[in-house]
Amino acid sequence: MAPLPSVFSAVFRVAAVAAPIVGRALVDAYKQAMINAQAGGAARQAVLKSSKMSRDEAIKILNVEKAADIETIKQKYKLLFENNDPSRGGSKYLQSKIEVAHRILSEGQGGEAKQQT
Amino acid sequence: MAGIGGGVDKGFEDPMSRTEAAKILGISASADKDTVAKVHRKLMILNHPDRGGSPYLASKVNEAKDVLSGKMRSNPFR
Repeated sequence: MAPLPSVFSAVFRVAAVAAPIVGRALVDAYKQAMINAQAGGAARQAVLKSSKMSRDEAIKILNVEKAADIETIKQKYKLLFENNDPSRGGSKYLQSKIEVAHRILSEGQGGEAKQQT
Repeated sequence: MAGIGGGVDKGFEDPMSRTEAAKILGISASADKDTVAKVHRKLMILNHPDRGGSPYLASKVNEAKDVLSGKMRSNPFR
């Protein structure tokens, strides 16, 4: 068999070495994920909860009552969002939290849930 | 939290990190005291209760200033 052009054989050799390492890493990661998943629903909920903004926090951010209606929520959101606009010297980060809070509370209401990726 | 990535709408960190404090104030984490004081004041005005501001957000702005100034402060809303 004629020898492969050197580029191909170099790539092939690298791949041959790297593949088992990557494969092993993937298998280990998968195993850990399975362990984590089985570590109990409570643990998993806790992990998810501590990442995603809670309704309670969203309520505090928008400064509304727990049972506030969607119109009140929207009004508070708009006011806070505008007040914290970067063009006024506000911070984008705060503005984004305000937006997230509105999104979380809108989902709960079953109203205009804007799904953004 | 390294596990959950960018698609999740996250709340504020608890406790607040320097990185987050800097983002809240919209400045660099290594900004000087004068800059911190200036932006803090501005954000407190924007989020003042008389303007319909949210006390919780105001507390976060205060906390951010304290964190960047090297003080640890407990959050009264906990």
